[in-house]
Amino acid sequence: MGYYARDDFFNNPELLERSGQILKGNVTLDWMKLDVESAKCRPADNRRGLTFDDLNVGSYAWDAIPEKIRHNYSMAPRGAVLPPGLPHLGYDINRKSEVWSNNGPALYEESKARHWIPSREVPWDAVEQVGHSEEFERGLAQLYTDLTAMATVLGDIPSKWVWRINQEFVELKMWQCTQMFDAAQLADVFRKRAIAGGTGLGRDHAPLGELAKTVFDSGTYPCASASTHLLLCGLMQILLRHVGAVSENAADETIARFGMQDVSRSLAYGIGHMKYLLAERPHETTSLSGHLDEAENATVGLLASPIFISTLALLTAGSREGAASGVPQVIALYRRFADEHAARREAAGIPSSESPLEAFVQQLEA
Amino acid sequence: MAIKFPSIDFFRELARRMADNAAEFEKLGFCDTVMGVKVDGDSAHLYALTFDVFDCTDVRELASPDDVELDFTLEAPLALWREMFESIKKTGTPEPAYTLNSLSHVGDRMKVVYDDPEGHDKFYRFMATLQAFVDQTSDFDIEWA
Repeated sequence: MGYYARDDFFNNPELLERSGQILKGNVTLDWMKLDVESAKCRPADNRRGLTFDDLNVGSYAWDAIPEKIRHNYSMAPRGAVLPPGLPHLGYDINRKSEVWSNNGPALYEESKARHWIPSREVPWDAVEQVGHSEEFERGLAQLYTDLTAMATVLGDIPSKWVWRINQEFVELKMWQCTQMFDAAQLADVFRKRAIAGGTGLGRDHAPLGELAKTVFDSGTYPCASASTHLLLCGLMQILLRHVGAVSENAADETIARFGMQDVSRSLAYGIGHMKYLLAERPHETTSLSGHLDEAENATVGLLASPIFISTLALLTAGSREGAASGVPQVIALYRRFADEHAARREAAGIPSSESPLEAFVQQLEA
Repeated sequence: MAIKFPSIDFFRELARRMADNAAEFEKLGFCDTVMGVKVDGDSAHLYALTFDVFDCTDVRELASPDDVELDFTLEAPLALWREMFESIKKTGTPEPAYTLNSLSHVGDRMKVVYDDPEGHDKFYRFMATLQAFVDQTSDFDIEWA
């Protein structure tokens, strides 16, 4: 038992007497006397329905959330009347800039609207006759095994932090819930695809674990957000683009198309979060940049690992025999990833002149 | 009746069909982006397609990419656009090598041009809608410019 309520309610005669009176019909409706704002919200666009954007009004608006929450640590919904005696829920992430992105509420709505159902929408019958060699399928299964691990981490990150975030940031917390659900579905579909292909799951490996641990053990939520949303999601996006491009199987094409959509929303949140944070607290740039450089270092460990690079080479070339011929295209893939990642860092306000990822790709190209 | 490609009428017809196929696009979800389509050839053409919720609400030809704030632009020579649409025509969906993703992936047969990475990521964020949008050309009788 971690928390004992402030009263022994069952042995409180006054409380029992009051509830007994109500049961006898002496109803008190004092709670209806409220001093709250009356707001009439309607959908700005009926095609979207009533969205969080439509509720961004008056005292209910997220625009009105102060930078530091000092008045509410309970589970009360933002805008509700807060009587004395509400328990402190222990939220210790109470700064808006630590978590907020102005596109968060819209991304939450988009996530629901673009929800897909892998168990039914992937043409699983296409996996029965994959249309490629067993070696190619083994390579795909290895990549899907890696993607399963990445998606699991992608779900673990918001779940690690969401319960510590003040309830006043309700739209942001709802967005994190969709992130968790999206990540669960991605881990689900990658795992199913690897197993359904007939070769079974592939091999886990330490370099991937090192990257996952670097991201998962980020010391603050902003650092976790930067390494998860900018780096890990960027890596997953380009890997899914690659799966969609190299596999001629309709199941893979579907998984890639919908999977890249899911992780791209988190990329948008990550850039928006960093912009908001650094506008409020520009001095955070140094620690974020240092953390991202560290996470890039772990990413280099993965990209350089024999199992990862040879899997991509096999998939790119289409066969084990031709794998060596696929290496230049893998390097081109890494170049694109490094360029896109650098552009996102720049847009987010945390560019790096000592990017390990950039240095690694330059070395490969040399 | 044949529809000329590239032309404003081509994209307007796609927008009209998108509205007619509301159920398909509502299932795919909100799509909010302004996408450029550039067709390189003897005379280059650039179009801006505005997607809003489930619809393509505006189609226009641009004299310059600066006329509209584009999230990203897909650029390819006319011959490649033709190959893509002919591939879609065969079975209603493109062969794997002719999806928007495959064409724009490493190799740069189709270039994705952008100024802002957030705009660029919208290409991938709304990929299913954009692919379904171009797949609607499967029964077009296209007159090539």
